Amino acid sequence: MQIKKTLYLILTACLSFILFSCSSEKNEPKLTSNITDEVKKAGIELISENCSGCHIASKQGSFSRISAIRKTPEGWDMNIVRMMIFHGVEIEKSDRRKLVKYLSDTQGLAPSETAGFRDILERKHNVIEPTEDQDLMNMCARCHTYTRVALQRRDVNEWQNLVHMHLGQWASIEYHMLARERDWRADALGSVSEKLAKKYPFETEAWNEWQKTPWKDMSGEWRIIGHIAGTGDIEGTMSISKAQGNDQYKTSFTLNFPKGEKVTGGGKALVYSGYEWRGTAKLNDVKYRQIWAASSDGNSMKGRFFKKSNPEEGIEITALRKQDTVHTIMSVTPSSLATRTETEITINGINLSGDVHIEGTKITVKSQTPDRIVILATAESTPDQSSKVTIGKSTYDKAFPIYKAVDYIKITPEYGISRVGGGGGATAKVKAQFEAIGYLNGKDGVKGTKDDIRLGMVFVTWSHENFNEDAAKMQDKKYAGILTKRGTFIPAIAGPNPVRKYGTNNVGDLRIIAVYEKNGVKLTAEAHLIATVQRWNNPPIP
Amino acid sequence: MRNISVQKTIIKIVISSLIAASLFLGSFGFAKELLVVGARPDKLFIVDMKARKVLKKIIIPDSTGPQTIIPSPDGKIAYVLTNHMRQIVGIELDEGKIVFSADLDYKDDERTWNYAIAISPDGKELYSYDIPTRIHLDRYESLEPRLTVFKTDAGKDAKPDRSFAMPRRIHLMMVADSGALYAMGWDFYKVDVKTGKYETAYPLRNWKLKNLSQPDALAFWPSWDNNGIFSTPIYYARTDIPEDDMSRFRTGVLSLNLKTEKFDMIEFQAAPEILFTTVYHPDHKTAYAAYNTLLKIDLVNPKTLKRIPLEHTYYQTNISADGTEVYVGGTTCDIAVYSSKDLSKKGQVLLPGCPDMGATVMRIIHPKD
Repeated sequence: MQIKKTLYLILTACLSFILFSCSSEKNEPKLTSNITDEVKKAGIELISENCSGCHIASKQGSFSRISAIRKTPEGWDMNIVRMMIFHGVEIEKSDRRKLVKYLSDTQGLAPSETAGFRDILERKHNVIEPTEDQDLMNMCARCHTYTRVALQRRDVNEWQNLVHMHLGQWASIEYHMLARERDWRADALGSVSEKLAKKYPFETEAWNEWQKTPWKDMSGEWRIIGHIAGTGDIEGTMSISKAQGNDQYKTSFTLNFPKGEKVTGGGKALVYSGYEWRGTAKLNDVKYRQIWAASSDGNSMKGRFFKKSNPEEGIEITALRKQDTVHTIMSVTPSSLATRTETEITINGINLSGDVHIEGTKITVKSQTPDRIVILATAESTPDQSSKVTIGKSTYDKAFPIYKAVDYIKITPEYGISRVGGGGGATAKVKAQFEAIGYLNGKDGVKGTKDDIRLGMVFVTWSHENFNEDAAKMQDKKYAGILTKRGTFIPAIAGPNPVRKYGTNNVGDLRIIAVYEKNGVKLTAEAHLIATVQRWNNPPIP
Repeated sequence: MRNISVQKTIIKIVISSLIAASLFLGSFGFAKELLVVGARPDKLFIVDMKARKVLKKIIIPDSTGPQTIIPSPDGKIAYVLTNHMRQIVGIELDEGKIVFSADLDYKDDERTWNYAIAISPDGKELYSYDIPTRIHLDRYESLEPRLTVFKTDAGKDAKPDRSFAMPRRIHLMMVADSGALYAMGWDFYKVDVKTGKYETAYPLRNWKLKNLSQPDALAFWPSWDNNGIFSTPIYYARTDIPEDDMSRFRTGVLSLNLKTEKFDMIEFQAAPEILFTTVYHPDHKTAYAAYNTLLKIDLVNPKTLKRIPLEHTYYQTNISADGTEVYVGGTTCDIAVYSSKDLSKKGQVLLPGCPDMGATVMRIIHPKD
């Protein structure tokens, strides 16, 4: 027995050593060459085979129109689909995939060019885009998102070609509200095309530089943290291994969802433009998709993990590559601590070792691994201050507030949209998820000022009411849908409702109300929900 | 032998069908007025509104969805815009026969959107307002709009008789009794159909009315069948009233008398309300407007006399020749009938099979024997 035990120990130690040395070597990000001559040649052949019937090829390997535009993978795919629908082009599925890949790699967008426009790309629901230029919003964003415009790069003649295409394809474009009061065609071909060419030109330093930056090998062991709106935080690990070439990967996930739910699964991913991570995965038999962006050093990724069937339901994630040299705290759940209560706190990170310390608290460590430390914490200090969390030499880069009582709550999003669906129709219901966030007023004691301290998600009682008198008259609350205990608004079925006034759809204008009650404190917050009709056209970038 | 007997049977069926059809069609002669309306994808219905009865369904061959309908002055032919606003089909209503067809993409390298059609008072010429785009191998080139004139006897492969350049963004055309063509767009233009010359007959975008914003009036629906008046709701803001005061948003009725060629505009309410169409009572003293609500408007002392909620959204209003019944239609598959006096509901006609009328139009014809 004793010999067996000793052998086992030796074997384990050896294995650990082998694995450790392997992983320390493996976990260093390797560089992959960007575009080889072979890839280029194959790409040009592919475009020639599928597109040169209309797009004129030059001796230098460029193709009219195609070679003068840069886009995201989604943008290129939408382009190809448009060629298929509008112009009857027949493209094999595998060629379509290869074309999107090649065009995104050779005529994509640099990380800095997509940075401000990732919300819509990640299929985030209920995003109100910033109105940075009202003229462009009226011109372009009255029909689709501004993101769709901002994630393209063209010179002025190509922006003008886009306007001509719009005039030829959409008969009513000059007749819409926000178009018909102006000479839309003249403005679109003139000042607007010029403005877009200045803002989003074909050639940029960012893209030139990014093409020279060696693209990284994403395989390795990763640590993931994330948040599901209205539900809570998740954490776990992800293994990435190479599947084919320098850009195709296999993934496997072991995740801990809120309330102790274990979620496992795996999938595959493809990296476009050297950093645009697009993956699919099955987690506990639910199909998910990933739209993430890798950092230029290849050591972190950020993005959204969302359900394939309902893209509005998703997890915002941050993933960090596990490296021996990295000791970092990635998340602390919950993200703040109330006084008077002993609270279990989970600290997630990479290579966590050493003493756990949170300023002003008494701590008992319940369990500790390099990935995760679970503690019981009781606040001792003066409340309403932000503390520092440290583990050994690692310091959490976010403040950890300690508070006596929540001063106010806010609902996010403040303005939400849901869409009717189902009922035998072609489109599914689009839910709206609300979340209540607790805040402290900060040093100045005034709500809504810069020094307010965000405490994180708080559990509240949800209810909804008619937004105004008109909504009450139409009985919107009765017909538009239901609000769950988790703050999820589930819209009613689609189609005209004969029992409603005007036989209208189950649409509604609603107030979403959150009530937070703790230790005799009662706080409320309100948000606005428009429960509206379906979108009939749901491209990747709407 | 067998083939001959089959042929005989077919002939018998055809003859008996023709007899039945002629008996059926014979009812046309007695109808004082008929309503013609389209429905997706390929239907044209002829309805006796007073009898609340659909008399006939005509199938428009290869149609994707009829839009505007222009009856010939004698009420015998309906010119229907279909196939994504790219084809005008003339249908003889008695027998449902195609007697005219014009492909508006008559140039090989062009795609055309039609936005308005009108017919001359003698029924001999069709005026088509088209917005062409040249389709190059690898790009589009938006071209300037044009007025194309077709001869109505040009048959089933009609080619243009002549065409003229026109301003952009015209959405409705009508012909006055004099034969003058009026086109509504940024402004109201009067067009000489012989020379193509046009002039502003009534400024809209360029109006200089004191304290009034640029107006908005996107009219697609003909309103003059039983009253000789084109009319449409028109919206503008009073710029001298603060922006947070909703009463700054004014609604009026803009009209053109097709006999006298005089324009008129009255303002009847100061509150935002969506109305798609208006129709004048034949006595020209009241008008009716619809969308989610049906309004009766006093044109003499401009004000809203009555407002009722409709059972659902309707795009178009029309009125019987005797002025007793207001018809609301478009959007789904029913045409509702209201009393012009007190807006009480008098009835409804359901199109068989409940096809979608969408944005097609209801026209009232008085076929001459």
